[in-house]
Amino acid sequence: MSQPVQTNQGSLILDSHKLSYHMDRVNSWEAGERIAPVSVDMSLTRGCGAMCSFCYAMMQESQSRSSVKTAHALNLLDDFKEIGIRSVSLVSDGESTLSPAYVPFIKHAAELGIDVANATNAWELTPEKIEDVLPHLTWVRFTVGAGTPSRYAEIMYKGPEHTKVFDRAIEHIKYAVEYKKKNNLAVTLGIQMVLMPDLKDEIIPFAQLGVDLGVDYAVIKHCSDDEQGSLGIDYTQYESMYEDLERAESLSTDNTKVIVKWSKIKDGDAPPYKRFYGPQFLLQISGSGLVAPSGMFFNARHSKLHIGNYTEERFKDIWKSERYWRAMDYLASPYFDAQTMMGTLPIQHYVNVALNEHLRGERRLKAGMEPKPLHVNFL
Amino acid sequence: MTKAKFIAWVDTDSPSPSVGWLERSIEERENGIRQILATKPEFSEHIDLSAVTNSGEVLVEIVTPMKASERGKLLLDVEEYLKEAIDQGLTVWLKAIGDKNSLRRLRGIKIGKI
Repeated sequence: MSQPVQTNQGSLILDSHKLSYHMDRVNSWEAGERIAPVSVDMSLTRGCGAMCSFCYAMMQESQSRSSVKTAHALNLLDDFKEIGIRSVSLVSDGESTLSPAYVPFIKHAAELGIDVANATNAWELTPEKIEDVLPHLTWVRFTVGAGTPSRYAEIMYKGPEHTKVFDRAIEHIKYAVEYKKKNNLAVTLGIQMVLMPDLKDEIIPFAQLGVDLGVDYAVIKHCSDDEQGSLGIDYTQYESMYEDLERAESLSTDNTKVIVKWSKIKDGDAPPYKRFYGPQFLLQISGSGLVAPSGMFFNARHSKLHIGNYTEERFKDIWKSERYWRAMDYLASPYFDAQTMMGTLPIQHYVNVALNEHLRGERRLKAGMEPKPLHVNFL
Repeated sequence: MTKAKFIAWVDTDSPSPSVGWLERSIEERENGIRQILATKPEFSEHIDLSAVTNSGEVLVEIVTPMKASERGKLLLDVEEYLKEAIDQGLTVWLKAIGDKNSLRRLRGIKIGKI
């Protein structure tokens, strides 16, 4: 895993984990106790107006989609607070800015003292919404599929001629950057490119766009695929892009860091672990309301790992149920093989690598050094 | 789960289907699973067998509407029962569902191979 990147705001960890700052949970977990996740990654809807070619949400359709009402979302946060969840990120399998619950959810999380963050294409993150939510957010990561308008429109929408979606996103990102500066907000703003093998030519334009926008970072990550290879990602092709990726990193400035998630890119489709402990620390919830240990299991195919739906019962009851712990124990048992039974490089990958090394005695986790890195509650 | 179990299982290989299972024809495997499921009405009332594969995957369909809070438990119970009764290498799955997002469907991605 890569070292933290030093930014104007502090030390930024994007290509590793922050478990060392949550040793209370690590120790309890290792002792066999039932722990609350440190962090939850979720969406307020399965809906999205984009059609990104790299989108893992295409593989995450469950049996049914429940409509997440604002009351459900706010109750969920109350339950998070009650059981001790420290952060929530609105990423997962939908575009949360489309949900009527979006602004109330972020404000309520902040009121409860739960760190809250968001990944978005920014198309519907209007200046009004930016002003409503930005003061309460720890970070916002804008999905920017490519650095040039036509390629962006081709990857994220209907075709290269639809560049209006690029223009709209850039207008909103610029507004967020300006609003942050003007109000001296602590929020970290970044853009992210999901690198597919056919996007080699977009690496440098993307990095340059990040610098030109003045966001805090521009990150490039691998593309996940499911265990059946539905997206057809050829992981052997990433190596041919290393030179461009290094060149992109060299474009970093004092204000904008260009970061490559080397660990995930180099790990490709072969995780070094067999068991999957990460969801106990970093749980995912679908925009359909489905609670499953990881987004890797949202699809109906993985129904045996579906635990409940928080629009039908309170999350705190789901977390306390035997169902929840049976699913988590299954993933930690030999009945589950992370190398063949789930997609590549889940959101819990870094955490799981660390827990696997910890258990095997290769690299025992120990309390993290001060000062704490940025976004410490987001694993 | 205890610390001892965590450590004991960290590198344990997952069970593979036995030679005896692999030597059976597809028809024999499917009949064997159907017979075993039929002995448990709490399973057979809710699920149908769709297919079996050489890697031990048992593909089933849920025939009665079921909440997320019910289907996970049922399917883990079924898998546990099949492992005990037939072969430790069997795993239970449902047929994958494709994306319902009409825009993203235009990408033409086909989900799952079985």
